Amino acid sequence: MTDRDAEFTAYLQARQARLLRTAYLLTGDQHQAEDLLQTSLAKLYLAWDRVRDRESVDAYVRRIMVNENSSRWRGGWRRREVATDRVPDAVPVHDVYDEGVGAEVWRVVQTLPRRARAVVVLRYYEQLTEAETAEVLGISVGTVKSQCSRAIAQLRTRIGEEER
Amino acid sequence: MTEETFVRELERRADDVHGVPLTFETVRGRAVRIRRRRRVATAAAVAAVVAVVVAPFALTGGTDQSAPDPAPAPPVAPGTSVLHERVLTLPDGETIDLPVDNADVSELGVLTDGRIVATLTDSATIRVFGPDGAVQASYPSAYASITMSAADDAVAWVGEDLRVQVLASGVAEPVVLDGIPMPGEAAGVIDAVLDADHLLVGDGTTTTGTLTTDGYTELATPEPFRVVDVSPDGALWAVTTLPDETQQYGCTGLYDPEARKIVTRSCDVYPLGFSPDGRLLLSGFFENNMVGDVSIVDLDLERVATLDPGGATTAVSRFGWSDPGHVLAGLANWQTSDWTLTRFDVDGGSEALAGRSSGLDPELAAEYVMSE
Repeated sequence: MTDRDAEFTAYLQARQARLLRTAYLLTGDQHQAEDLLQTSLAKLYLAWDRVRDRESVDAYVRRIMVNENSSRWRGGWRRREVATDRVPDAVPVHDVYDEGVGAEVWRVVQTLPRRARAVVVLRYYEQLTEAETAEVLGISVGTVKSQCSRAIAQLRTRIGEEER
Repeated sequence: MTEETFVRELERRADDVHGVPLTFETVRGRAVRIRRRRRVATAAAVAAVVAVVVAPFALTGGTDQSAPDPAPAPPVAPGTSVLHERVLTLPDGETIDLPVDNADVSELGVLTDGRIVATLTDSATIRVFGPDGAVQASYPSAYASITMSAADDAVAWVGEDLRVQVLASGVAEPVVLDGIPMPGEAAGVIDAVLDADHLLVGDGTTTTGTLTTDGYTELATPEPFRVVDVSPDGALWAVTTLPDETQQYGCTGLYDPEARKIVTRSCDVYPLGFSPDGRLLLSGFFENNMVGDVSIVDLDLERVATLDPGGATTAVSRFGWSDPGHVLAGLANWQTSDWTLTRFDVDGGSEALAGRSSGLDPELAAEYVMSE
């Protein structure tokens, strides 16, 4: 194995579990997430020599994942996508402390447009700053703020409706 | 209800997601397939477009001899308009200043009455511009996507309230139809606009029904598929069939709605749009906000020509039919972000119409946005 491949393998082993979770939140489906992650890592492998700053690999692969996910939606791949707010069976739902909020958060995330969902996942799951989120997605900081505000407002509305 | 709620709940939701660990060999294998697909055009072509089949318009050989001939004088759909640096260039060369950046537009359509309809990605808004480029109206949508009719005389989208809206050429305001039946509050998808009064809709995987002002009616087809595009005369629908154990992404076909059967099938090409005269289709794979393996296929779904973007690091960003004999493509070098707008002739040859100029990262946005 070359040094290049060994370096990539080390990254793969260290980061794939976390990246799979991000992919799951982006797609809302375990199988789509696994496919998205594999494709994104393959593209990262092809571009490995171009990512000279090893500190920025995570940012690079996140960008690939978001774009890949959007491309599937936009183009031919979207033809095969199931749009649903049904929670996949493979992922257990925690009810002990939940009181319904967790389910509502997930419903809000799943009904957001792709880019808005990516904003929420990067900002609140990956906990990137607004500026980092904007850079990954190629949008303005103002757009990041407005998308997050809208998601929170949507959640408040849903919770309010539940309680009425 | 604060940001912490999202942080906590997304973390909990993701915590129990575990997949089979990917090995280096698995990832490298996928990478090799991607690289092969990206390079297939370069390897296959010397000229910008190479004719693979000499008689593209003949329905020769093929998988099903019962494939219908196209109508003797099929209607010719309008060609593609191109948005670049806030200027929209129509098929006849006329230009319109449009107050919107390429990077903010994901989809674009031009109605036959001259109005321009664009989807704004950052706000999921449908914006309607007058023929002079002035903003006329904005409509909130469930997601930033529009579907144009083949004749460009109607455009439809899913509104914020999940009801479908149809804006017809010559009519000031959109007509509001029922929502697309879906579980829970999920948004359905408009697969095709047959005309202002008839839409094909579905769940994103399968086209399930027709939607009219009278409501939703289930579509009876011999097998499940999703409609990708409709020929200008409406006689053929380009469809994708469902994935199965042998075909990860499913296969494709041409469906005759009158005969109620798929008349041609292929698992090698992914047709995305009929030519304006309905005799050819553009095919390609969307990857990373670009399109790979862009080909022109005939009504047997056999490759007629392959578009060579002109270099191993150059890809097709967006494409569309300029007229029945030409394809417009925005080409981008993904290493340098250099862009050109090129017109390819289906019989061979190409002509650079604009560029080479530095521009947006093609993984994020398109310098040349083509009308639907």
